[in-house]
Amino acid sequence: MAFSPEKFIFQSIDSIRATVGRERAVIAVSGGVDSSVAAVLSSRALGRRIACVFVDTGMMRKDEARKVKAMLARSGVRLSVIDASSLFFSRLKGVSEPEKKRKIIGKAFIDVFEKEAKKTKAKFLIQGTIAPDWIESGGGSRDTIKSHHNVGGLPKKMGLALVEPLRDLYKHEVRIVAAALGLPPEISQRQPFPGPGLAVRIVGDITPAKAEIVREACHIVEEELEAAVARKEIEKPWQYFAALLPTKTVGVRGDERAYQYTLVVRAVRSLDGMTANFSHLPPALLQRISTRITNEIREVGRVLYDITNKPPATVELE
Amino acid sequence: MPILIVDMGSQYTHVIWRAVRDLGKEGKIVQKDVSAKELSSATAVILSGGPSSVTKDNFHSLPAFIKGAKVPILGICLGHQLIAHTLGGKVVKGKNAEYGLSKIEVDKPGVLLAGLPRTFSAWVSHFDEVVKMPAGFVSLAHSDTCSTEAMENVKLRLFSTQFHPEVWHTENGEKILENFLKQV
Repeated sequence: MAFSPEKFIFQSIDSIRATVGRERAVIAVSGGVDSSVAAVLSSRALGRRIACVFVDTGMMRKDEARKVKAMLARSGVRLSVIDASSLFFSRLKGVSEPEKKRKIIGKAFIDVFEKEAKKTKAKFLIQGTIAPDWIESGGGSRDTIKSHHNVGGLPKKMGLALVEPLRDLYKHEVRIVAAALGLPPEISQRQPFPGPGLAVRIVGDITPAKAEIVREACHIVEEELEAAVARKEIEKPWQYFAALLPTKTVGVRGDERAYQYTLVVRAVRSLDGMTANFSHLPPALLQRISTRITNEIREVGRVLYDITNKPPATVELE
Repeated sequence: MPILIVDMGSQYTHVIWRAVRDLGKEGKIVQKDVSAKELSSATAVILSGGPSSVTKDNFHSLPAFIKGAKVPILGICLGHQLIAHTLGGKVVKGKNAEYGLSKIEVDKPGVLLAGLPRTFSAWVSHFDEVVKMPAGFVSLAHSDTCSTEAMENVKLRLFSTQFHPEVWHTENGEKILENFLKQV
């Protein structure tokens, strides 16, 4: 009795209809596989009574809004993009404590969605929360590892009722559902991206300039790793990215002293995100990544590779 | 009747539920203050891991249930330590914590580790460890840092592992859960 995607799709469409009734709903879409699957299920359940919204927090991957809109359009999801980057950056200014950052982002998301819900007269907010999100957010005798913005990061008082059709699923099961729904591999096999976006890949306080550095670095890591996967040099890691440390270190560039940021490259293997081990990337690939990052991003002077498993670390740095 | 999975605060409680479901059985997650009455209705009980310590925390009806259990019980991590502590074994803070990958060496497969290779990789995440098993238990496996990675008392149908058989990174973990579920 392994996981059956057909049964799951049938039951969740039914359950979304039963919960939302004749009302309208708004869904938060990030372009990851979870929210994309939730968006397709909701669109099938509610037809035109669902508004699919992508919030650009300013902490998204390179070209993300444009790419996601195009990808989802091919699966029949009409996405409206809201640029809220200045709101997010101004609220996060000077904040460096990771849990505080996550709570601020959760609150800002809800503020944007409540505004959107008013416009569309929606009473429900649908989210692609999956099991590890609420597990890690704590509850009962479980410790809070991190407040996922779609769970623990949500404010207690919210003007919208929450619907989470994927709460009992893990990523590998969501991918099976995505394929069964006919979503293309570019979505169903997409690597996970954290809800708070690049904010959790900037250790310490967040500025638009730092977001730009980490965005470029993530882009380089993705390009190089995906090229290596295409050449069959490595298996595709579960997740691969770069994170910016607040620490500067000394270097030398063209015979001149340099004092620049330190960047961490991380790639891990996992099935469900609950446990993970660092990927054993070939030295030549690490070499290419490090050279490109230090040459293409002027603000970065040193690149480290993270060799920690989960546990004791987590996949993302915050 | 379902297999009760007692959530003692593990990150992996729901993963246990998923593994039980994938093995074709119905599991139900309950909190650690589950009533004696509900426990007595289970066909089997799995005790999850958790962040607390057996010597400090309150486990409500669970110790009495373990002492008088009439159904198979599987303890994982903290659950393993709770079985040992409740039945007169000794649990202390280990010399070295173990987090992440560990090499498990099977000394005696018994029922729980039947069909597994002599050594395998397992995922661990703990500081406390069982240093003395309760009377009647057999130690099945050890690692470099922990002398009892798995133990069982076949007569009482009590089984336990210090490592986490439910997570993907543990090799043959599903086989261990299957061995346990065969006892139901």
